[in-house]
Amino acid sequence: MHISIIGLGNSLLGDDAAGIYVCERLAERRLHLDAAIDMRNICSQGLFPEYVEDVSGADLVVFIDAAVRADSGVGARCGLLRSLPPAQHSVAEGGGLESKCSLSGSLFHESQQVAVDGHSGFQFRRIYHEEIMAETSASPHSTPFHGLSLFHFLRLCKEVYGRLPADIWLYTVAAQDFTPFRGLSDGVREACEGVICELFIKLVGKI
Amino acid sequence: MKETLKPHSNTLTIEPVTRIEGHGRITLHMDENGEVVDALFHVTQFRGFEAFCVGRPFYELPGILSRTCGICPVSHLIAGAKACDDLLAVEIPPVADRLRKIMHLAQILQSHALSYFFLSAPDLVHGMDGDVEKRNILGVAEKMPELAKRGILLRKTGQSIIELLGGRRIHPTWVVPGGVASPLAQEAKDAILAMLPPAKDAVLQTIGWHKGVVENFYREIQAMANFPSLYAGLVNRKGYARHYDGRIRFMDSNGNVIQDHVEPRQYARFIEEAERPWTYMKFPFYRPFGEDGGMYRVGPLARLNVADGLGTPLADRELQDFKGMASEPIRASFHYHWARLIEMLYAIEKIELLLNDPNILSKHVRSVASPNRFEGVGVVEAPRGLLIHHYRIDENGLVTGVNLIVATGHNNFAMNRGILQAARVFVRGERIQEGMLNAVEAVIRCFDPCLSCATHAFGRPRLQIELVSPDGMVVDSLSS
Repeated sequence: MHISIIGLGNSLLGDDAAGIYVCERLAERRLHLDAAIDMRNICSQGLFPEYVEDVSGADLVVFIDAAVRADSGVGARCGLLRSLPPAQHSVAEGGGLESKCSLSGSLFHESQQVAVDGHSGFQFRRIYHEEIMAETSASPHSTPFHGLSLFHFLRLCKEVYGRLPADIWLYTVAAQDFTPFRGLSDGVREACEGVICELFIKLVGKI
Repeated sequence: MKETLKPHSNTLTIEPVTRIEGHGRITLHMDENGEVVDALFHVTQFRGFEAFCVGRPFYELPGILSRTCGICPVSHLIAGAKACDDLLAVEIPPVADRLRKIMHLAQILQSHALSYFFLSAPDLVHGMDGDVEKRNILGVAEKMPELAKRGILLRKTGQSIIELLGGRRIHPTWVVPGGVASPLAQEAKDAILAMLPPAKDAVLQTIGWHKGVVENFYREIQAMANFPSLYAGLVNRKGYARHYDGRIRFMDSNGNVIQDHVEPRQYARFIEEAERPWTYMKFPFYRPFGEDGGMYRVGPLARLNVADGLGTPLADRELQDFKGMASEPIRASFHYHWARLIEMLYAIEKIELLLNDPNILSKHVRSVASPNRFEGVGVVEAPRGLLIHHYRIDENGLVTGVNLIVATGHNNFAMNRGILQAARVFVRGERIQEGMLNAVEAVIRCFDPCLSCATHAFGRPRLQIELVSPDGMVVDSLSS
């Protein structure tokens, strides 16, 4: 099984490095999975065309990106997911955040939110092939210099190589602080560890 | 990004200019008959790297200044390292010299691939008047997936070579003053060599395709920055093009070499920079001819024009074909695209030659010294043309001054003139269509400008705000 893990962000810009952090930690711990999974880790500041071939050949691709707003689930580097309204959140008893799926039948049926400190956390979304075509048809312009949007990137996979990974996952980690050279804030680091744990569980389940 | 047209009096604004690197604006000034009388290319972003590098230790500059750009950071890194070599007054080990060349050529490969396949191919595939919704990389992929695939392969090849050498694709720090940080590993050498044959095939196929399709763009060839100018590029003693080293050659529009073998340190004798209040990008010109007659072009077209050859068999064959179009230097900026393809072919061939050097795996890759000069200059041919880094330091090795003359800047006069030329052909005030405006933008894309690189301060940064009355009179102004 071929899995591509793509961590997006800039390691110099505080919590923007969340995707990079997760991707690097997964690469360090990959030995546990190597026997069953061909896992390729890419850490990048954006979704560039040169990754298209690798991703299109994967069975599963996982994108990990920092989210600009805690409640948006929108990746800072992946671009706006226009047709997907943000998940609604409420403060649960005990002070944590939990996600409420806002679409019936929903693209969010697997959404999760892990409370860390009342502000940070992460969301999981599964991206469906139909969404990709719909999104890119609605917004055909793309700018490859600083990275394609997530949907344009996936559409390019489809158009050029004729296939998409069967499973496409997106994790967004709610960022708190993009101040340069600060490193990850504590809450975001915890959220990243949560992503890693969940990913391991999911990946083991895929074997 | 959606283009917006803002009719304002007799001015037409194209903002943003799309499919270029950075942020720019074009204004077209029309007379009462709707004829374009003037055209200005404004670079509206500002970055002040020269200022905040002052006071830093000199050896930090290659790394800092490579952050100017995410497309051509390797060129800045190498030009900066060469300026530092000059400060140290060292010759770097021969293997380090070759390894730097390989990384630099890989960057030219990936950058040209991005420009050709992702930014300009949409126009070549769909035409200037084609459906705007299709004029992007997805539109190329839909109509010609094999072409898009070749673009992806070539970009990936260049980026992968950079990563194999420098540990990362963007902003590697492997090139250092005195050489490179680590030797080449056998596995990396083998991996790079394995990538080259398919990349070479991809370029050759694309050159063949381009030669067929370029005939469909006769009007664009004639009208897009097609005029006499000077040309500048690096050549070696034999007159062959050089991208990493060499000396500057200036050629006139008739093919006469007007100045040859200019040492990097002498650049200021031949290049002067003008400013305009409406843009952050400087206007370099050939000093001996003055501002009015000193417009020159750099980059792939200029490099092929000034060079007597490239030095690799397939690229030289294509160069001969290219130069066979005219008895004089090629004036049509539309042929920058073709020139880019030939340079990609050269880069692949040259990387192969350099890798097959028997000493390429040598461990001696860095010379060590303390500063021996207070002034250092590094010059390379970045993908878009001549790139000059000039540093001054004090006795403690701290930077007292930085000047960068960036490839895109050299082309500034030519780009502005080219926009005017194209606008006069393609734009009519009474009948403005999107395809016309795309044609004007496409002039800029011929040059593949990198505006992020090109907006450095010269002297005191200038920002002027003007309050203009409805009748066009400036009633108040404020300058920084």
